Formats: sequence, C-alpha cells, structure tokens
Amino acid sequence: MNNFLIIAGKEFEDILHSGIFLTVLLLLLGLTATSTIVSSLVFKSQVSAVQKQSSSLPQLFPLNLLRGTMDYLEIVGALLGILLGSLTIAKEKNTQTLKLILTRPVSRNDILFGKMLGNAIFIGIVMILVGLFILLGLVYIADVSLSLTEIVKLLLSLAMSWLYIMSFFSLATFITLFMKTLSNALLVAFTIWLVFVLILPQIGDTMDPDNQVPGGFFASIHFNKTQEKSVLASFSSYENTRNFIEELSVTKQYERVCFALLGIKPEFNGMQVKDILNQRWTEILLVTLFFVAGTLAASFILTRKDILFWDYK
Amino acid sequence: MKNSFTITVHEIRSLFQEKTFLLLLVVFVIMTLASTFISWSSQNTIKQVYNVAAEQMRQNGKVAPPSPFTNFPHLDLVKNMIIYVILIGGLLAIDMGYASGMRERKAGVVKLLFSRPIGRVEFLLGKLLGVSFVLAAIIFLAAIINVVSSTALVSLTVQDIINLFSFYGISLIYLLGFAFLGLSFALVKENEVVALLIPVIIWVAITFVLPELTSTLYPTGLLNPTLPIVNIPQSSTLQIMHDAVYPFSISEYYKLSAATILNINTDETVTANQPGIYYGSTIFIFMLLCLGASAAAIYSFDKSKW
Repeated sequence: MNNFLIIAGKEFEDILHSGIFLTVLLLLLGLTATSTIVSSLVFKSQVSAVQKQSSSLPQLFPLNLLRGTMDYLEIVGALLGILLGSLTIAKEKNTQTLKLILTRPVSRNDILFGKMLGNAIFIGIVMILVGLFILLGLVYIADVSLSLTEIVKLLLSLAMSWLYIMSFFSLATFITLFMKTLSNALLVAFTIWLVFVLILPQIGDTMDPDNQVPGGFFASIHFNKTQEKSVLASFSSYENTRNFIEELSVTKQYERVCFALLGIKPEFNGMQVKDILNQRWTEILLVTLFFVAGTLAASFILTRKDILFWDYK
Repeated sequence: MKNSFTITVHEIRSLFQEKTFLLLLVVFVIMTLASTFISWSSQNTIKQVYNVAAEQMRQNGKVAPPSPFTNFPHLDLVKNMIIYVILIGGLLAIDMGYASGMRERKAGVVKLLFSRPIGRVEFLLGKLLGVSFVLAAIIFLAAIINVVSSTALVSLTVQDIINLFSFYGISLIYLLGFAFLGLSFALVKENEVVALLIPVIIWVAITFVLPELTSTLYPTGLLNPTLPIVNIPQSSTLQIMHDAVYPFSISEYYKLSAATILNINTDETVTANQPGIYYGSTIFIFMLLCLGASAAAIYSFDKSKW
C-alpha cells in the first residue's frame, strides 16, 4: 500500500484511541446538540405565540435555527482543528519518530499529506455526526421537516465547516512544526485563534452602527433593510473600513458563506443554491486559500532538519 | 514566608521571559489602546447615522424619535474593554497560571526544589502571589492606558476615574479566578495538553455556553458590549434551564457588574434584576473557589515525580 495511505490509516487509528480528541469531539457534539435544542425550544415557543395571535403562520425557514450551531462550529470547531494539528506533530516530536520514519523510503510530503488525510477523514466523520444531531433536533424537537433543497444547503454548510476546521488544522500543523515546545505551539495557535475567531469579528460587530442600541438601532426606529441601506450609503468609508476589518478574519468569510446557505441572512432565504454560491464564491475561495497557505507553509517547513524534535537549537 | 517571597520574585521574573505570555500581553495592550478609539469612532458615526435617519423620517412626514445618543456616558468609551477582558484577559490569565504551575515540572527541578526546606504551602503562596502581582500590574497598566486615551477625547471627572479603577478592580478578581484555574490543573494533570485544555474548556463554557443556556443568546452574541435585550420565551423548559444555570453564569455577572460600574447600558430592559453587589459577590466567590482548587491541587501535587 502507498506510504501516504498507511500513514493516513495509522493517524486515524491514533485519533480514535486518543482521549483528548474524544473529549473535544464530545464537547463539540454536546454543544451542537445544546444549541439545536435551545433554538428548537425558542422556535416552538415563538410558533405557539404566533398561533395564539392569528391562525396563519408566516413562512418559516427551519435552517435559520442553526445560527447557534454555526457559532459553535466557528469557535470550538477551530479549536478542534488546532488540537488535531498540534497533536499530530507533537506525538512524533515527543518520541522523535519523525527522524526514524525519514530513514525509511518515505517522503516528507507522504508524512504530511498522510497525516492530513487521516485527520480530514476524522473531521469529516465529526461533521456527519453534527449533521445527524442537527437533523434529529430539528425533526424531533422543533418538529419541522426539511425539503431536499434545505438538506443540500445543510450538507454544503457542513462541507464548508469541514474546510474551515481543516484550515485551522493546517495552521496548527505549521506552528507546531515551527515551535520549540508543544505548550508554546498551542498557546501561539490559541492566540491566533483568538484574533481571527473572536477579536476581528468583535471589532467589526462593535463598529456596526446598528449594534449601538440593544435590539438594533434601525429596528428601534422601525426602519426596514432598504431604508437602513439608504442611510448607511452616506457612510461608505466607515462601512468599508468595518467590512475590511471583518474580512481579515477567515472566520467571518466562513460565517458569511454558511449564513447565506442557511438563510440566517434573510435576503438569502428561498434563494437557489447555485445563486448563493455565485454570490459567495469569493469567501469560499478565501477560506480555501487560508487552508492552502497553511498546508504549503507546513510542507515547506518540514524540509528543515531542525524541526524534527523539540528544543532544537 | 521568606521562601514564598523568593518564589514570588522568581515567578515575576520568569513570567516576563515567557514568549507566549508576552505575545498575549502585547495583544491585550494593543486592544486596550485601540478600544477607546473604536468606541469613539462608533459613537461619532452613530450620531451622524441618527441625524441622516431622522432627516429621512422628517422628509417622509414622520416624527423622528429623540436621539438615544445625545449623552453618551464618558466611560462608554471603554465599554469594549469588558469584552477584551473576558476574551483576551481570560486566556492570558489561564496562560499565566498554567506557565507558573508547569515551570518547575518542565525544568525537572521539583525534586531538587523540595529537597530544600520549602513547604507546599510556601511554594503555592509564592506562585499565587507572583501570578496575582503580575496580573494586577497588567490591569493597572490597562487602567492607566484607558485614563490617558479617554482624557484625550473627553474630560473625565474624578468619579469617572474612580469608576474606571473600580471596573478594573472587578476585572482583576474575575481574571484571578482563571489564573488560579490554570495553575491548579498545571499542578495536578500529568499530561501537559490536558492541563491546558481543561481550563480552556471551562473558559469556553463560562464565556459562551452558559450565556446561551441562560439567556438563549447566540454564542457570538456575547461579543457585543451593548447588552442585549434578554427575553426568555414562554417555554417552561427554557425557564427551568435558565433558573438552573444562571447562578453559574459568571461571565454574564461580570458583564452586568462592569456595565453598572461604568454606568453604561442603563436601559431598564437590559439592566440586572438583582442588586449590583450580588453580581460582584458572585465573581468574588468564583475567584475564591478557584483559589480553593489551587489549594487542593498543591496537596495532590506529586513532588517526587518531576
């Protein structure tokens, strides 16, 4: 069998036997379930409130309930990617086996891409489980059914989440290869995570004029989206700066794609999948580039001899 | 006691040699510097946005509501710091505690250290004092930065400055809890990744998960310092969940206490339904519990292993 596939298989086995990975996996699944349950309960409560007031329900978009789940995939999914990326390299550095493997007829790229494949399969399985949790929550707790188009949109969001988590995996792989100790590598990766996942989106969010009043400024003066846009057109430089800060974050790019697919941004509700992807192709490309950049950086640094074990001088 | 003092001085010196600590510290200081400007810029823009919106309403024959932005409290300029303390400060504090607990283990000098006449309590006390001193110095630096940057934009009163320092006082208590958690797990967990991961998971739970369970807020909803309108829908399950989890939702208590001290978000729909002292006391109890965890950890610490 190809070396690359052997390494991928070994990597996958190691993950399944590792308590740390399983802890984070359970955490992610638990959070997904919690979020879906909370959103479903809120949804049911709102539906019954509307039903009390009038007999006809407004059009409902069940995928909108996944806002919280997407938030968790943004935050904890990225952490899962960082952990997998750090530990896959750390275990080899701890035992100095990278050096040993390289005495065999195995190329450095076989090692890197084998490890990536093993982890990619694992993350793929996690995403399938998350999808199942979501479906069960929506069907049995929120009491809604999904159309075929909605299932396709959900699957595409999960595929996007997979790419997003893999991009943090490749970043963490590079950092762990580069750093001298595992704890330093993890902390540097956590700091980057903090900046990309939380701080940059937070700055953009705080600068949003609509967020200056609890419940939204424009809602408080009963302005609709068109009126809001016409007002904000006078502040294009400010809005462009705010948008630029947000766009520096790979998390925001990922969020924009998923929020469009799931209709969390109302203007995308009911839109065809093809049209959504057409409108969001730049964001998809940027997340892909982030992943490719991390992978290339890891591949490049793996050619150095002094990164094969910890505390190199 | 003399030994504790020696360990404290060593801790302070060593922390400033930790690159990851310095990296997080730089991020924290940069965001502290930026926070005032971000708020000032948002304030000016929203005032202009209101004027344009009001003009459009008048042109359409409607009556514009009075502007909610005429009198921003002076300390509204530092409201972003509430979030930066929760996010960056929390991780920085965990890193400090973790680094402090791991230092002798990683250097392999635990046996050597305890071959000297040093007790567990002295050892722990030295570590706790070192971490607390450095954290207090960082918080003091942040307060000074905010006083200087705010004074450049608005004229702060003496009361404002007292409130600002009180806010940083409660922030220090909040962050000490996380630093002590980091220290505790670094002392007892054999695996260094697990030792770091557990306090980070607790931090994620306190920061994102509990607010969702108690207030049905989206996890990223916490990132906005403007307190959201919390309106639990009419669902008995959600109400039970709220009642069960709310006493443990420390980050919400911190946000409420901070907003009250800074005199921001005074809208009655979003203010707390308990007296401010209740929230402050709960944060203090959280810190004491984490301190207790450190005390328990030092008694489980195997000084013959490393």
